[in-house]
Amino acid sequence: MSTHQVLVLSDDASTMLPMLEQSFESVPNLQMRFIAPQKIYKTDFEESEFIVLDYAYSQKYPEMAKLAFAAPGKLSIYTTPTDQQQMNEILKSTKVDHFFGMSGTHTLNDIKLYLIASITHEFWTAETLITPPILKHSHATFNTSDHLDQQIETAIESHDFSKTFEGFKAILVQILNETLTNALFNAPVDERGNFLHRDQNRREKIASPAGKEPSLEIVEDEDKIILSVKDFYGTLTKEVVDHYLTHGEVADKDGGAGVGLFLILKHAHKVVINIDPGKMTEFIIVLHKFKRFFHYQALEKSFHLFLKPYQRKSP
Amino acid sequence: MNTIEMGQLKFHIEQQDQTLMVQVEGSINEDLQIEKLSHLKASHILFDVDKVKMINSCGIREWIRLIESFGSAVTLEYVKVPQIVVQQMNMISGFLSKNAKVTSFYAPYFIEDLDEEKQILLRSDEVKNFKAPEQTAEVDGTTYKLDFDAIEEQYFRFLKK
Repeated sequence: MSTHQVLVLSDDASTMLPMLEQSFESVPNLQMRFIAPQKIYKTDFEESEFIVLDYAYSQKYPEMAKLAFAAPGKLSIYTTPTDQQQMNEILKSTKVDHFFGMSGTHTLNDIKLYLIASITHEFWTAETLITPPILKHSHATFNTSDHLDQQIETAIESHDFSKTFEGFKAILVQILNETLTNALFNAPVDERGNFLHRDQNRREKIASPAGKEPSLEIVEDEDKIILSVKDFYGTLTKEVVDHYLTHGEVADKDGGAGVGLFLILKHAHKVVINIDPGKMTEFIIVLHKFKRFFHYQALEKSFHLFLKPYQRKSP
Repeated sequence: MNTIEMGQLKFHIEQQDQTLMVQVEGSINEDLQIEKLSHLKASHILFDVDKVKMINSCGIREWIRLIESFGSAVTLEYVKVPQIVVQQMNMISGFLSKNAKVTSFYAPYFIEDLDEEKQILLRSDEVKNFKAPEQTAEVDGTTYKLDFDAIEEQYFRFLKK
C-alpha cells in the first residue's frame, strides 16, 4: 500500500507536527514532513500528495509560497481567525479547494477528515460533520420553484430556533433560497448538456422531472445546524465556483444575480461543495447556533470543495 | 396611500410635497418588478424598510435596477433598516448607492443578566467612529445596561459608504 506524503508548511511546525501526527494516528500510511523554508525545493512539492500551508507562513516566505501556490490541486490553507474580507482575498488569489479557519482541535479534526476523504475519494456528508447526539433530522424534496419560500418555511418548521439570535432564521432561509434556486434553475441540463433554465427569469415557475428533484436534508446537534442541498445533475464546475465564490458584484443579466454563492459563504461558518460530474452536486452548509450575534459573527469560517474525479496531479 | 403588490412584496406609497414616502413590506426577491414602479417620480424618495422580512440575490439585483432607474439626481433615504438588510448592504457592493443614505437602522444588543436580545433602532448620527452608542433598557422596573452584540467594524461598515 502506498504512502501518502503530507508536507506541512508552518511557522509553528514544531508544535503542529506532533499534534498532527498524534491526531492522524488512525489514518493509515500517512507520512508528515516538515522542511525548513530555506531548504525547500520544487521537488519537495512535487513529491508531496498534500500540502498543508499556514497562510501567515506564506506571507513570510514568498518564494516558498510561490511554489506552494503553483500546486492548488494539492494545497490546502489554514489560518488564524481572519475577517471575511481577508478570507475572500485568500480564496480569490489562491483558488484553493480547502480553506480552514483555525480553531485548535476542531481544525485539526477537519484537516484529518479532509485527508481521509481525499485518500479514500469519499465526499464529506452531513453525518461526517455532525457531533452526536443528533437532535433533529428532517428531509424534503422540491419538485417546483413555485412558492419556494413557503416550501422552505414548511421544510424548516419542525426545527427549533429559540436558542439562536433573532436573525438566525432569516439567514438560514436566505441560504436555502439561494441553494435551492441554484439547484432548480442552474443545475438542470438536457441529454446534450444544454442548460434548461439557467437564463430564465427566476419569477417563472419551473418543475423538476421525477427522480431529479433537488433534495434538502437538515441535521441538528447541540451546537450546530447542517443543511445539505443536492441536485442530481452535477453540472457545477470548479471554474464557476472559483469565479462566483468571492464575487460580490451583482451581474446585470438574465437568470441568476451571480452573488448567491458569495452570500452563502458570507453567512455560513462552513461551506462544503461536493461535485460528482454528471451525477450530483451537494452544498453542505454548517451554521453554529448562538444566542448572541457577536459570537456567530466572530466564529472562524472554512470552505471545502470536493470534486470527482480527483484532479490532483500524481506525485 | 397607494399600494402596489408584487407577489410577496408590497410597496405602500404616499407623496408628501417633493418626497415620496415608500413603505416596503415582505420579501425583496425576484417578484420585484421595476416596470410596476417606473411611474414613480420625486426628487427625494424615503424608503421605510422596517417590514422587510427576507431578501435574496435576485431581489438585490432588482432593487439595484430599481434605484438606478430613478436616476442619480434623485436622493434616496432609508429608515428603520432591519438587520437582514444591513447585512446585505455590508456585503454587496452597489446595494447602497452613492445617492443614498441610511438615517436609521436596527442594531443587535444583548442583556447579559437576562440572556435576552434586543433590536434597538439607532440613528446613523449616533454612531461615532464606528462605536456603538451605549444603551439601557428597562425591564420589569429594573434598568439594564445593554451590550452591543455584533463586531462594530463589520456591522457599521455600510456607514462608510
